This record gives sequence, C-alpha cells and structure tokens, in this order.
Amino acid sequence: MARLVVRRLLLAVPTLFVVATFSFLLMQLVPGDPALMILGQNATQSQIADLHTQLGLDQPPMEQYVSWLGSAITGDLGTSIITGRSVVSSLSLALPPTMSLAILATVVSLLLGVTFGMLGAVKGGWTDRAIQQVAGVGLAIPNFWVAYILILVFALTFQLFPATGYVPINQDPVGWLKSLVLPVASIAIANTCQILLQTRASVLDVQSRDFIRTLQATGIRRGAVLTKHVLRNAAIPVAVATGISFIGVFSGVVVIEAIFNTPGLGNLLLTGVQGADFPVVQGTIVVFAILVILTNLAVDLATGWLDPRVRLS
Amino acid sequence: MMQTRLRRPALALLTTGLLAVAVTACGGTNTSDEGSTTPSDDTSSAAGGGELNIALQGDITTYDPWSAQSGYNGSLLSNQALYDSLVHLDASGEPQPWLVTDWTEADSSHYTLTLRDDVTFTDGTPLDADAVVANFEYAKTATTPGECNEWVAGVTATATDATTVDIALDKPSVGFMTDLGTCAGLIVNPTAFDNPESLSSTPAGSGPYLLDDTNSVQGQVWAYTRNPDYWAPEAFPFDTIKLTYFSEATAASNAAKAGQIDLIQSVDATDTSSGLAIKLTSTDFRGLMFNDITGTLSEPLADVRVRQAMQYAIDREAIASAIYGDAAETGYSTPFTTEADGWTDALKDTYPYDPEKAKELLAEAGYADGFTVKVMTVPFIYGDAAQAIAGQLAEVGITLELSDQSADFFQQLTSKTWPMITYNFSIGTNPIHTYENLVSPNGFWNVMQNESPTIEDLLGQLDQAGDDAARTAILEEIAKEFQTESWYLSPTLVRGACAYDDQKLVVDSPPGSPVPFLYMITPA
Amino acid sequence: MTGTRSPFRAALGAMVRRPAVVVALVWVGLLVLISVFPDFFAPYDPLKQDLSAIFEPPSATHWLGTDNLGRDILSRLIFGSTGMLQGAVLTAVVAVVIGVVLGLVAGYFGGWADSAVSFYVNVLLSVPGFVIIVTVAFISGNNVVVIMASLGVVFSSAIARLVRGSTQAARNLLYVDSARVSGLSTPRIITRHVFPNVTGPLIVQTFLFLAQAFLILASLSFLGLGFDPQSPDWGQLVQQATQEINDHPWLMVPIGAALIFTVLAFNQLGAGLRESLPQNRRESMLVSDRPRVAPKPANLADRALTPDGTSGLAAPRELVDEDLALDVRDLTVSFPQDAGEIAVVDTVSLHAKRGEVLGLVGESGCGKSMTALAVLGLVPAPGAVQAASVSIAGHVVSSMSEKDRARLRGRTIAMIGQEPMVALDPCFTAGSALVEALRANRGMSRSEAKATALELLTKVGIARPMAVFQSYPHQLSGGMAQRVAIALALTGKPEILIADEPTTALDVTIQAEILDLLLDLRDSEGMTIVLVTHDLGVLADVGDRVAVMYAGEIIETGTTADVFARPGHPYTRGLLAAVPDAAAEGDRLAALPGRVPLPRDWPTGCRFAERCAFRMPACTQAPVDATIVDAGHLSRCLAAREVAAISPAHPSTEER
Repeated sequence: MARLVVRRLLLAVPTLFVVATFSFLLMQLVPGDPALMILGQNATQSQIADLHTQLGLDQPPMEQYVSWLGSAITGDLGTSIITGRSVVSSLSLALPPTMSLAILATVVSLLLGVTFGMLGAVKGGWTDRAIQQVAGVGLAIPNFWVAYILILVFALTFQLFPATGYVPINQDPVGWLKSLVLPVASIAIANTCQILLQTRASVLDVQSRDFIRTLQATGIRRGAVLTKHVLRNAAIPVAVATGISFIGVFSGVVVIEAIFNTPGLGNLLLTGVQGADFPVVQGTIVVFAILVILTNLAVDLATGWLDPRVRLS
Repeated sequence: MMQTRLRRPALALLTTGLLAVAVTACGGTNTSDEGSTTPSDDTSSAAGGGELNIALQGDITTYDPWSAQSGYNGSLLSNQALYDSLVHLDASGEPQPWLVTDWTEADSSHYTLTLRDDVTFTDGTPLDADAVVANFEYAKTATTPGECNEWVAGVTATATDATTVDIALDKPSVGFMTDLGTCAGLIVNPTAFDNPESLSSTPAGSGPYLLDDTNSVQGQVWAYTRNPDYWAPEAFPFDTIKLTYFSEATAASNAAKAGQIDLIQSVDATDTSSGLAIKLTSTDFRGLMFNDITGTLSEPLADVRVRQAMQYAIDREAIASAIYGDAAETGYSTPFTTEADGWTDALKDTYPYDPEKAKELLAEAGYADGFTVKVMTVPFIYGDAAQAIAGQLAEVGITLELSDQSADFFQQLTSKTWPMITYNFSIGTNPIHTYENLVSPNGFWNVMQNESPTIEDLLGQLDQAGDDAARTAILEEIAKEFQTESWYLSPTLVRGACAYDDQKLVVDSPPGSPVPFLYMITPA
Repeated sequence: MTGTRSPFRAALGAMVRRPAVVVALVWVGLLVLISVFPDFFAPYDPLKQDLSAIFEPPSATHWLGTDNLGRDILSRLIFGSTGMLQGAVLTAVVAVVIGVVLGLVAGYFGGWADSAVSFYVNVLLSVPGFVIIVTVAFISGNNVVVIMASLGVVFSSAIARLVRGSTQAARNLLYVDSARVSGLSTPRIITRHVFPNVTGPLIVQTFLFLAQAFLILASLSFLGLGFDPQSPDWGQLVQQATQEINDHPWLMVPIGAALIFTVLAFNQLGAGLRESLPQNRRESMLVSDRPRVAPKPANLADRALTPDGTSGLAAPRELVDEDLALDVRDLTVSFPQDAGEIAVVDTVSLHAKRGEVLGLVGESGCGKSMTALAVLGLVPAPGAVQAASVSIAGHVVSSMSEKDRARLRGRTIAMIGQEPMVALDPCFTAGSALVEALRANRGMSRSEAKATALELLTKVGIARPMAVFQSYPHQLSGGMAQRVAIALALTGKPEILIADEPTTALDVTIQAEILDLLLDLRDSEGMTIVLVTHDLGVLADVGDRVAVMYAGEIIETGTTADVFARPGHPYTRGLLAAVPDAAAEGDRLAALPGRVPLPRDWPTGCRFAERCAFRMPACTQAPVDATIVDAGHLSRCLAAREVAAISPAHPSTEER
C-alpha cells in the first residue's frame, strides 16, 4: 500500500508537468491581446508595448514558458493580467467555496446514493424499478436547469435560502451552510443518481458472487450478510464512483458557480478565460489537476483500506 | 426580453471610453454657482443609515483611481466611496462645488481652482493644493493609466497657495470642470505615490467611506463603512455599502429578487427579470456597420444602392418593439435622438420599410439574386436584433452569416477581415464627437479608415459656423448625408440602464454616464 | 463459444425486450430520422421570423409556440437536432477511434507503449473535462467541430483503458495457447479475440458518451459558448430559454424535454445493453426471505406430484424415514422465462442414509447443482421450488418458513462449493470468517471462537493454522482455500455436507487430498456427504451410492458398485466411457456426441433420445418411467436391462 501511494505520488510529478505545459500551450492559442483588454481602445502603441514588457508578453513563448514553469515550481503562479493580483492568492480565496461545494455535495450524494441504491438492489421489484427510473431522469437533467428551478422555488418563492453568494465558514457557519444549500443540491442531484446506480449495480454484483452462497450455507443470517459482507464488498466500486463524482464536481462548478455567483475556482476559470488572463487560467487548471490527483490518491487509499487485495499487493 | 449573459471585459471597454465623449460634452457653461454646495440629497439626510447593496458587473482590481476603469467596472462607485472628488456633477451634468469651492475660467484653457481648507486624508495628511498638483502629475505617469487620465494629460497645474491651484491646458476644453467630476477628479493621498503599487490593495483617500477589510474579499465583495472624520457625511446617507461582483447577469437578477441586492449597476434596459425598477441612463446607437465601404471584402457593399437597399429591407418599428419593447426607440440609422441638434423629421422618411424598393435597388446594382456577407457579431451586445435584421434581409435575398466573436472582439475588430460588424456607440450631446467617432478616418468605429469627403468637409465648416442657426443647418446637412451614404444599419436607439429598488432608493446619473454616481443614490 | 449466436447478439436480443429500451430506441430512431430529413418533418423554415408573433404559446399553427423573433420552435427543434447529433457523434467517433487504437497498441505491445498510453490516460484523467472544454471553446472561437473533437479526446481515455484491458487479456491467453494455436496473424487475433469481448462494453460506453456530449453541449451553450447565434441548434435554444426563463418560462419546456429525453434515451440504451451483456447478467445468490411460488412449469410432462408417487426415480418409502439423512421427493425447480415457467429440475427424488456418500453425477447443465441448492434452500431468485417433501435429518424443510429453514443451514446441512477462491469473502480473513460463523452457529464468545477456529483449521489438515487464520482468501492457494471452506462448513457441526464439485478447480494432487479429507470427516463426524460431480471417476473411489442426472431428471440411481458394473442407461455408459483417466486430454465426452438440451427444449419423451445410440421409436413418444435393473438400481430407459447387459462399459472398472 505504501508503495502504491509512493508510486502514485511519483507519477503525479510528470502528470502535473504535462498538465502545466498543456495549459500553457492552450493559452498560447487564445486569440486576442490581453493588453488591449486592459488598456482599451484609447491605448497607444507605446502603451501596449510597455504593458507587454511589463507582463513579459514580449518574450518568445519558450522563454515565457520556462520562466513561468520555474516560478510555478517554487509555488509562484504569477500575477493576474487583469486584476494584478497574485494568482496564488486568488486561488487560495477561490479554493474554500469550491471545496465546500465539492465536499458537501459528495457527502450528500454518498449518503443518499448508497441508501437508495442499496434499497433498490435489496428490495427489487417495483421499488427497484422506480428508483432506477428516477435516477435515470436525474442523470439526464442538465445541472443548470436544476439550479434555476431550485432558485425559483427555494430562493425566490419561499425565500428559504439565498439565491446567490457565498459566506465564508469562519464568518458565519450557519450562513455558510445556507449559502451552499442550493448550489450543493444542484450538483448533488446528478451525483446522487450516479452513486445510487453504482451502489445498486455493485450490490447486485456482490450478491451474485459465490461467497454470498457460502455465507448463507454456513448459517450467517440474511441481515448480517447484507450489512456486513455485501455492503463491505460493494463499497469498493462505490468508493471509486464517489471519487469520480467528486472530480465531476470540478467540472460542474464552472456552470454552477456562475449561476450562484459563488466566488470559487469555476468562476475564476471562467472570468480568466474570458479575459484571456493567462496566468489565472494556467494556475486554475494546475490547481484542478492537483485536486484531481489528490482525489484519486484518496480513492486509492480508500479502496486499499476496504479491499485487502489492493492493500496487500 | 433580451438579457445579457456574460459581461465580458470587452463590453465594459466598449461602453466605457464613451463616457468621456458624453460627459465632456456636457460642460457648456462655465459659471459656478457659488454657495450652492447643497448636497444632491438634502431632503434625505435625516433618513440616512442602513446598508446599500450594489451588484457590479466588473471586478474592482485596484483602489487607484488613476489606474481604474469605470463604466461597467465597479471602480467608479468604489472610488467615489474612498476618495473625494474635486467637483460633483448634478443630474444634468453640471459641475457643482465640492473639494473645489469656487473656480474661475480665464478662457477654456486656463482655470483657477479654490479648495476647501479643512479636508485631510485618512492618515492626517492635509488635502491641499500641493496634493492636487501631485495627483495631476501622477496621472501622467501611472503605469497602467486609468480611463480618465487622458483628460488631464494636458494639464499643467501649479499650487499658488495652500488652497489655490492654477491650471493651464495644452488645448482648449470647455468641459474641463465636468471632467473633474468624473473619474478624473478623485484625489489620492500623495504619500501613496511613493509606492503606487500599494494602491492596488490599500486605498489612500479622504472619501466618505473606509474600506472594511474584514468583510471584503478580493475579487468578490467589497464592504465600506463610514469615514468618521468625513467633512460632509450628510451627502452620503448610507452607513455601510457593500459591492458584490456578479459575473453572470441572471445571478444578479436572482439576488435582487431574493432581496440581497438594492441596485444593479448596469443592466440591459429591457431586463426586468430582477423585479427592480429600471433607470435609463445612456442612449446607444447600436446596430450593424458596413465596414467594407470600398468593397474589398464584399464587393456588393461598395455600391451605395446595395447599402440603401438593406436600409429599405428592414422593418424598423417591428424590430424595435419586438426586440426592445419600451427600452428602445425606433432608429433611422442616425446617431440622434429626436431632440438632438441636427435632427429633422425628414430623416424618419428616408428609408421606409419597403422590400420592393430594396429589391429594385439590388437589381439596379446587379444583385437581383442577392448575395452573402459575413457579419461579426457579439451576441451579448447585439444578438437578437442582429438575427432579426438577418431574417428580414433574407426576405430580399441577402444572407447574413452571423459569427459570434465575443472571445476576441478587439482583435477581430481591428483585423479588417469582416465586411460587416456589430457596433455600439453611447451618444453624447456633442454631435461633433459622435461623427468623429463614427465617420472620421481615425474614428474608433471606422476601423477600415473609410473616407467621406462630404462629411469631413461639412465638419470643417462647423468650426467656422457663425451662429447656432448656421451650425444647426450644417448639422442637418451632415445628418442627411450620413443617412444617404449609409455606412450604418441601425433600426433602433437602445437605452442603457441600471436597476434599483424604488421602494428603497432614488437613483440618478449625469447624462451619458452608463452608471449612477454614488452621491446620486439616496434613500427613497 | 460454439453457440449459434454470439454473446453480444444475444445481449442485443435480451436488451430489446426491455420496454424502457424500446421507448429509448424509438426516440433515438426518431431523432436520427428528423435530423437527417429535417425539411420533411419541420412545418416551417427554422429561420423564418414573424416579429408580430413573438413568444406565442403553443397553438394549432405553432405546435410548440414561437420564440423571441416569432420563429416556430418545433421547426427550430427539428432543424437543430442535426448539429447536436453530428456533434455528439463526432465526439463518440473521435473517442472510440483514439481509444481503440491506443488501447490495442498498449495492450498488444505492452512495455514502453503501454506505459506511454497509461500516462496519456492518466493525464487526461487529471483535469476535469469540462474545464478543458470551456477553455477550448473560447480559444477556438466557438468552433463546434474543434470543441466536440476535443471532448472526444477527453473521453478517449476511458475507451483506451477498456480496450487495453481486453487486449492484454487476449494476448496473455494467446501466449498460453500459443503451442496449439498458431499461424494466426495479428489482425486476425485482434478481430477474433479482442473485439468480440469489447464490442458490448464499447457500445455501452458510446451510448453514455453520446448522452454526455448532449449535456456538455447544452452546458456550453448555457455559458454562451458553442453554436453560432443564428443557428437553430439545441444549444442555442437552451441559451435562449435560460435567458428568457423569468419572462417566458415555456421556452424551457420543449428544449428541456427534448434534451432530457435524448440524454435519458442514450443512457437507457447504454444501461440496457450493459445489463444484458453476459458478463453482467448474473443472478443474486442471496435468497429472498419470501420464496416465490411458481405455477406449474410448462415444460414438464404431466406427472403426478404426489407424496407417495413413484414418478420420481426412487423406491417407495416411509413418509419420514429416520434412517435417512436426506430424503427428497419430487423436487421441481423452475424459473420464469419468456415462454412461461420453465423447470430446470424436474420431479427429482433422492435419498441418502446417515454416514453415506451419495454421488450426484451429470454433465454441466443437467440440474445437479440446482438440485443441491434446492435442498439447501438457496435457489437464487427468481427460481421457485416445489416438492412433495424434502427432509433433512428428520426435519421436513419443504413445509418450513424461510426463517426456520435458514436456521438449519450451517448447523444441520452445510455446503462447500466448486471454486474455493471465490467462495470466501475477499474482504475478511479466513479467521474472521470462521469466528463469525462459529459465533452465529455455536453462540461462542470471540475468544472461544478463535480457539475453535484454529482447532477446525487443524482438523481440515492445515499445518500452520495461525498463519491461515490471519490470511485473506487471495493469499491462500486453491487447496488451502478449499480446506478453509470445509472448516467453515464444519462450524455448525452439520449432519449433511453437500460438496458441489469440490475438487474441480484444484490441481490433481490436491484433489485427492481434499477427497480424502471429506472421507475422513465422514468417518470421524458421521456426516452424510452429497458429492455433486460431473466426473464419475471421482465417485468410483468414494461413493456409496450414485444418482445420475440428465436434463433435470434422475435417469439412473443405485449403489456405486451396481451402477459402475452394470450401467442401466446409455447416458451413464457414456459418462463412464469418458472418465478422464481412460481417455486422453481433449474432447472428454467423445462417446457422447451433442450436448444437453436447454430446459425449454426438453422433449416429452426420453430427454436423452437425441444423443442415444439405443434410440427406439417408443423413446420419443411418451415420458419414460423407471425400470428396475437390480434391487435398488433403477434406470429411466426403455432398454435399461439390455443396456445393463452389455457391460462392462469402462475399461478401468473392468480391471478392478
């Protein structure tokens, strides 16, 4: 297990390098001159040239890349072209809202998904079919649609939760939770369905394995078989699915954070891309990659903990 | 109703620089109403207090007013909270005494300002004539110059005593005092100029409010509390102000509906989705421009009959009412409201909706079977209307291929590869500026440097115009010529707007400013 | 596989029998049709505007109303499906092509190529896909082709992994078989061995990608990215609808419904196919707490199922015989199928005395394992069991509730299975499994249970019980795992042990050891053992009595000595002739051409007739009853005595 973790971490280094390089190349393709974006139409050629020098944009791309990568390794992702803020400080401000969203959404999806997935698989029949159909629809509804309906109902009609915004947890924990209810729900619906279907499939799969028969033939009660053995074995693929849905949140936040005006990584990326703000976009992509790699590592640890075959190999 | 989705920086830039044209043009008179330092809200000073929640469409990236963009960008409101302005403007755009209690204008190149003597910056440094001079000097050298800096670029300022500043301009400017009421008159503590970088995170002003760091989050929320030492607190009735940046217009609407927001700094005039009252601000001449008058990219456009045919082919009233409802008036491809100098009712009848006439003209020009032309659009500025125009031109055989270039608008604009483009121009009251922008070879929107000798000639005659009547006659002629040459295709004049809670607030803005001014936002 | 239908085609067949899949197919079919022939279906030109009729609600002229420029929404929806579908298909094609090529290369060449592809997959999996797509959308100036192709690249990682795994498996298989299979070119190896296995999952994945692509296009459009403003593409309709959601919420309904139905349909097709694929169609081993009662199966001959009936292959006996550890009468197991209720075990009667080893023999597919499971009460759902009576050590279990019956399992009757490696829960150590069983069956404390578990492990012949106690199943060898399974079966001190092919999966040397262990246990514990096997040779050494099953029926029963010496059924003769130590490795049932018919194909007459060398016209006319060959030796053959007379059938038994 320790070797697996070390191997994963070692692999993370070239992976991050490639992601960083890729994000740099991607931004080289961005049309438009950020200097024009900043200076506007009144800019003179000399102003533009000055700004280029100041931003380092007059250097050949290779030199820009080397200097960016060099600083990135030391934890300096540069400063935003548009806002002039340090990218690292912008990212550190954007991280808490996004992580709050991702963690809450995943916890909620996991609880609901496992409960109902298990219910469907064990009960079977009508209950199972109903749960499956609802989950199918849940997966098919675009998240922005869900978000709009939730806002319409819970923020505008009943005014139970704020329609937009994010309250830092250290400022007001209750406000924090309230500000996250609707965005979390918008993301959690699809993720719940995903985890639900995976749980259901895993439980059914485990139920079809020979050892379930052995356990019953040995005299272990049905309830114990389900709660101890089926759940434990089914948890392994569910852990993987949970990791995937956690990572999926990072895709979802691009849309959801825009709708709820949540000042997270998704919003940062979107405004960065819109403003051709190279350092911000590159930094955000790298942070996303780090988050995904860490998530995958956590999933590895979880499956290792759950599955002795992984742990002991 | 059209609602803009993503306010990209391009839009901010597109609309902002035009404030200069608009506001500068307001300053026709130079008399100062001495003694009438009445804050614009004297009725409501007693009813003050409370919090003002404003939704911004742009990030506040610096607290340095000399490096700030305004317009859709939130900096103007933030800077009006943190800094004092040399003069205030009233709702008609007239300058009113503020830091400057009195001014004289020797001619339109020489001004003398008299300052209050009791104002200090938050660190105790006095706001005196030297501070003002230092600001004008700094404005010329700021690394990232703000939008208004060029209006004071020609200023040579001298402090004759602690409260008197003599100003010499390198060229006459009748609207100079008005300019000082916009983003060009906000006075920064000169001690900050030793390290201008610090202004990007720490304000250094003498304004009515202080930045509340604990409740502010960079790039997201900015909170302001009263400056306890401010000399005229009654002019700023709210105890706290909170500015929140919304990158998505619908989110701001929803926040307003949920009661989180009192005022949205800038909305589409037709966007009533926030449930707030709409306050119309600027008037925008908006449409599609025949960029390629010489026909190098699209041969048919070189023929004036083709351009005129397209004017006949659109049903202006239908488009105005279907797309904009009350938020626009029918436009006649002229950058004028009906009140403007140079307007004649005859302009209305130049291009009636007449598809048959359009077809005739096309046939005359040799394009009876129509043609196809590429159009660069920016849908969040001009989306539905462009489609409506395209739909009507299709009826006479002309196919517009609309292409969304929001991502790299400026690059595409200056690339000279688009025969037609979306444009937007905020109309000021000075028609000369308008024509310079739209027709002159180095006008902003004339990106392909087309030339109209007739209009250029008429503009030249304006300088020699003896009296107002002669001037109006020339303007009328220009307007007619402008319509005839048909470089612009615009069925509507669209209104800019902000949205506010009219139960709670009274909101106003100087003419031509796309956003309200902080001291014009008062409790209802 | 020598079946007439490939497993994939069979899966397709099973899939289209699901109603949800049929609905989905119809929707997707319709979508394809309208997107190919929009002009035919759309009532209006999608760009034709009428500014005097904007935002009209649905009416007879505009079925779905009009939009902000008075354009017909239905027509826009129809024309817009083209671009949407093309985009989604492009994504899927790019993903599949890149994924398959990389997967094949990685799986086939291994080594450096494999590492490179793994790295590619890793990198793609390290960035949230939508983040890249949003960036690409901006960079490409909303070029839908570039956007969707990029999405395909992002998706390709999943396909590459899938194909790589399959290719690797096929390649390993080929190395093992290389001595025998040679002369196949690489492309043929790939087409023959890789594609058949991945086709199903690949198509499943493709459907899911199509669904995802639709959602992602819609999300992009929501952000104002993707399609051109004028085009009636669905993304544009989504954007428009979200813009107008406050003033004209109706706009959200047609495009929302179209989008959700389409995504749902693709997901349904994917899920439907996945669940129909053979590797995913396995039944639950967990028995229901309320067994199903089935009507009489359709494929049974009309035999009386009476308690004293002699229809089964058993001599008439007392209703409850105290000497019998196991007494099964007229046991039928059936499953519901399309054709109705189909029996897989047909009126089987069996008995075993205390301390006896009863062999239950037959080819796979004869119903012997199902018979064993029915005795245990572990027939998987949706199977149903009917019997005149089933008695286990004097308990009449056929009339018991499932709850009472569950109490007998482990303590009165236990089972060991065929595959020891999968018979144990991989997540728990052998020790913890034993402790759990001992606590359940003997009510022991944890420490007592641990001591007893170690004793049991010693008893089943494990030299280092503590090491095994602490081991997980995957750390044990097959023989060791089977010993643990036996120890598990012993935790409840059962009177009857059903051993279902206990040695099949083991090495030859281990096989003998396990059989010896079972016999020792029979002797020391006085257990009755029911040994289910396809290998008569095994029984020659250990069996007291034999029951031979064919196509759900017992076709011959008697003492091992009698049956081996004078087999009274041609099938038994065939089995004997095929005993492995006589025949060379290879086609084991050379003496018996053909295969066991599927339950739904069982004939009315003798079920073996088709494969039988002794077939007479009478065989196929009516069900064949039992014939007494010797006392206690019965055969369900019209020519039983004649067949028995031709013995000996088996050279090795002859020598004995």
